[in-house]
Amino acid sequence: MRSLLLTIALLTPLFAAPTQEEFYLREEIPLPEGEVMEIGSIALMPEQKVAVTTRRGDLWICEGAYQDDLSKVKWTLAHRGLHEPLGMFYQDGSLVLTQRPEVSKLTDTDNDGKIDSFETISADWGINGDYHEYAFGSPADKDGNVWVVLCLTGSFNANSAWRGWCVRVTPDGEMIPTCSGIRSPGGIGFNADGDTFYTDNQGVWNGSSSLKWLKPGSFQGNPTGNIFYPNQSDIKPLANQPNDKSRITTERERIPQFIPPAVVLPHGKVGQSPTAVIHDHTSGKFGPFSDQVLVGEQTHSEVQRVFTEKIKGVYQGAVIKCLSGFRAGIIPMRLSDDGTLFVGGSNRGWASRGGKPFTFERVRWTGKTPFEILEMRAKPDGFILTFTEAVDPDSIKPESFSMAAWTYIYQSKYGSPEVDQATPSIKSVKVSPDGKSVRLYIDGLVKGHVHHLISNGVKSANGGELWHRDAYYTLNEIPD
Amino acid sequence: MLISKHCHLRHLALLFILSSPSLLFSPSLAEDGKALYTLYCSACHAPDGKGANNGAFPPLAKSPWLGGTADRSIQIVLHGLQGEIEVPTDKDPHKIYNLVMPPQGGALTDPQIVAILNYVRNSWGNKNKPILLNEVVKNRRATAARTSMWQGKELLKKYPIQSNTSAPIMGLISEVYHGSWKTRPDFSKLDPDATYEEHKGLISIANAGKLKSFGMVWEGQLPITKNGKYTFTLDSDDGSAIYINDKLVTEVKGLGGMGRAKSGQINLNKGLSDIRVEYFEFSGEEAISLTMQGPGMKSPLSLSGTKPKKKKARKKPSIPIDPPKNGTAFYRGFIEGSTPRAIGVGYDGGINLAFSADHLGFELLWQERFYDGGRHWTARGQGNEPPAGKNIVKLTSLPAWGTLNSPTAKWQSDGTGITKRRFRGYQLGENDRPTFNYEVGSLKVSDVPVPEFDAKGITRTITIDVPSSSAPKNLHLLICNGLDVQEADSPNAYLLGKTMQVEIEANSSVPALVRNKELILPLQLKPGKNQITLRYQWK
Repeated sequence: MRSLLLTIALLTPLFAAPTQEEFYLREEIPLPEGEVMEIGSIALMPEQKVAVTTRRGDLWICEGAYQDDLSKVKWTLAHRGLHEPLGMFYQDGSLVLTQRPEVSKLTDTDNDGKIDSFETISADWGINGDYHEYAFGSPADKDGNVWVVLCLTGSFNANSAWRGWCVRVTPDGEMIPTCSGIRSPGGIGFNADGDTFYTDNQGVWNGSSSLKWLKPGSFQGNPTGNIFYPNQSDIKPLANQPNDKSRITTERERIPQFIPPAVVLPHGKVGQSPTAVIHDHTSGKFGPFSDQVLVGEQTHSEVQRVFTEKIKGVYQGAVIKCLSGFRAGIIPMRLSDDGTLFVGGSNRGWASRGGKPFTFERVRWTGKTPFEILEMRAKPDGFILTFTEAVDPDSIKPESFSMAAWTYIYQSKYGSPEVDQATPSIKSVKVSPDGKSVRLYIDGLVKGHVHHLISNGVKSANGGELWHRDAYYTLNEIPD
Repeated sequence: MLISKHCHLRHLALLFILSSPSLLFSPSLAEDGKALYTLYCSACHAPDGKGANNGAFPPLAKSPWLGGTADRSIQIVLHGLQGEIEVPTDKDPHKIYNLVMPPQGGALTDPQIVAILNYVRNSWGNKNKPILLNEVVKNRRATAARTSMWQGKELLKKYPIQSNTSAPIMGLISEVYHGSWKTRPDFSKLDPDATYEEHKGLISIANAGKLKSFGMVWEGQLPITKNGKYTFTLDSDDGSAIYINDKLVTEVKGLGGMGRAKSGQINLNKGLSDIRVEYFEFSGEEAISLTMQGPGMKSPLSLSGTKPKKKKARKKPSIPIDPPKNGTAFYRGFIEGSTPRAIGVGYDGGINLAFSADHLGFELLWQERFYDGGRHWTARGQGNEPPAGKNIVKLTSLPAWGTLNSPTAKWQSDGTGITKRRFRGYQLGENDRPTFNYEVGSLKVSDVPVPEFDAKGITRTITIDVPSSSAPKNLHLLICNGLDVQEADSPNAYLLGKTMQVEIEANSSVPALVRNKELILPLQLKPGKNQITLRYQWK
């Protein structure tokens, strides 16, 4: 058997492994000389202008970031003196900014290129001088609200009002406490259906980092901020506080408001510090991943792709690596209508694989479609994979795939090892008539576990290899 | 040929994986230290152990932190580490880091920790004896109740680094305190400004970083080879004291130069004795010397280093922030002396203020340099930073607007009866000078500071818009608290402390209330616009 397989393997046509450059062009955008541009937020403006803020608190406007020749970009300083802004969008002639102490509306009323009006929309959450009390803000939702996730004090405590909560700020400045259970966010945004997601970092009560769904009224898992339930009246406090050293699936039974992480981003394997959340709204201008969510990864200097589906009322799905090689730790991302992905970053205080202290980059699809797992959907007895291209049916055998599953301890300690390891077994596989889908029939799926699928043997109909072979599906619910 | 060979190997590897998929994920498989290090640690400590981003994060290669007892390394991995630490790098033998290593005890299993540490402790030039599983188990059990990260100083006290076994004092740590004292202060009530490892094991003021107005405390352990009576001789400029096993042995009191040596005796047993030396320097020359004499010692052993060269202070990173020519600088980070929502404003010409958006008041005024971003714009940017300039006056530290029902009622820290205070932002006018806007109850307030460069001060014009229906009663404005307040020579003018005068102009006949270190202006408001002018001036 072994020698037979070896013979087959040697007879298989040899293709070079796919590389990012074939599919996506990543370019560094020149920055104003002598400036420390640790980019913390990006806003896309009319006339192809791009606004960025820095961690030091500067606001710059970039012109020419869409042009082919990036050497011609022009930077204009619009203001210095903001407080660690981490979220910005353009609206009706103003930039709406989430900075550490407040949501603000910044306007250049006399059109001289400088901001001259700073209107505080809401400053109703607490800050006490702790550097870790960050505030990440979303763009406006369909009602015009800005969603703000408020990091815990020092990432461990709730020493200031509403730490550990997500709040919504309405256009007229009302602050609506929306979800408890937050630890240390890295970014916030919407999926294609307009639901709000944020990334939360591995740490206390987070066995691994993950992408989480901010369903209004929900509890996100970290109980530290639960002390603020009595300070509001819209959301009923939790019937039970979570038990330490448990499992999320167990605690969900006791705490109905507990929404599990939609997609776990396994610590170390996928990343160490997830950040920005955006979705591909470009209907194909950024490649084949329309409507999927893209997540920034600070430590690994990467962009990852997330497919989600809603099963039994909760989101779940798979993360697959996507873009890599960025020059610093990614913090914000914005995708323009024409399919240009803007990425900014810094590694001050938190290390990153990209070794530059800060960066501003853009990524465009080359037009060539990578052979990838497009979607991974759960079935009662396995998964169904959809590929970006038809597969070679001969390459689809049970042994072309392998799977491992595990979960994390849900605990007050920092992080968790991978525990409760299981090895689901792939019993049989079936290719769809169009060759684009493969049904995996699996014994031993485990509810609540991350299911790591490795598709080592899969080839496209043209004999190409997968760009990324690993997919990590978080099976919060097994469909009926 | 090379390519096909490469692919051949790859297919072989594939076959191996296919034929034994369970092996890959079996938790019983021996942990691979290098792979685990790469996965979980290398992002910060770098694959080559030299610290990510050219040593911006602490190196592990040749780090003395890994040497000696393995307990120190195990504890750092289990519980994490934060606060200032000194780690030698290729470029700087005394590089100071102030970052956070999150605890990994909850995330890594004991076998994983063993594998990672054995890899780290024996890579990149490190040579240490392998650690065993039971050492990690024992450490985890011993500190199971610990819920906080280690502070660098705390960890070193428990697990001192002995980089030099011939050092007279083992695990010696020094702390530097900034302050001006004429007698030895109670250091236990002060917070050190810096902490150092004294690798040479000698009492030395080389790390003071200053030549006057500082104190130092050294703590370590003194190896004693014979039981008996020991004599310690201490001399210093200015004062000092030595404690052995928490007992005061001798003391050089007050201010004065060298040549005031004092001796004291104490019985010590074979083994390690705790030594603590305290020292302060007021001004002028600075030095300390300490010797020890005891059983079997031919001559006194010096426990102090040579007099330091006049070394410059270890510079805090400095990133000056100055207003542009004819313009205005803004700073909204955490300003020492005001609240977290302070807004610093620096006018070109050397006049500066901090407006608190929490308290809706002017809290700090100062002259000359505006601010330094060095603290907040390096590493993670912990802590508050005071203004960079001179003649800092702290006007208030409480909410500035409140109701007082009687002239003797206490000014409350929660805002004294105001149900709603709301900061609304600021507009920039000529030369980018700001107008602050806020709401106090139903009143709309605009607050306009204008720098007066010739008169050395700020004129502040407050306009209060009162809705026709509801002029509030008993509303007061807190102009100053915490400074001595006296009436000045001119009418409606008051001295605030020693350096500041404020002159009040309001269309109201009620005089300001001068109370114990408080200046409070009662406001008689009419519907429509009401104006108050405050002229602040340095004297």
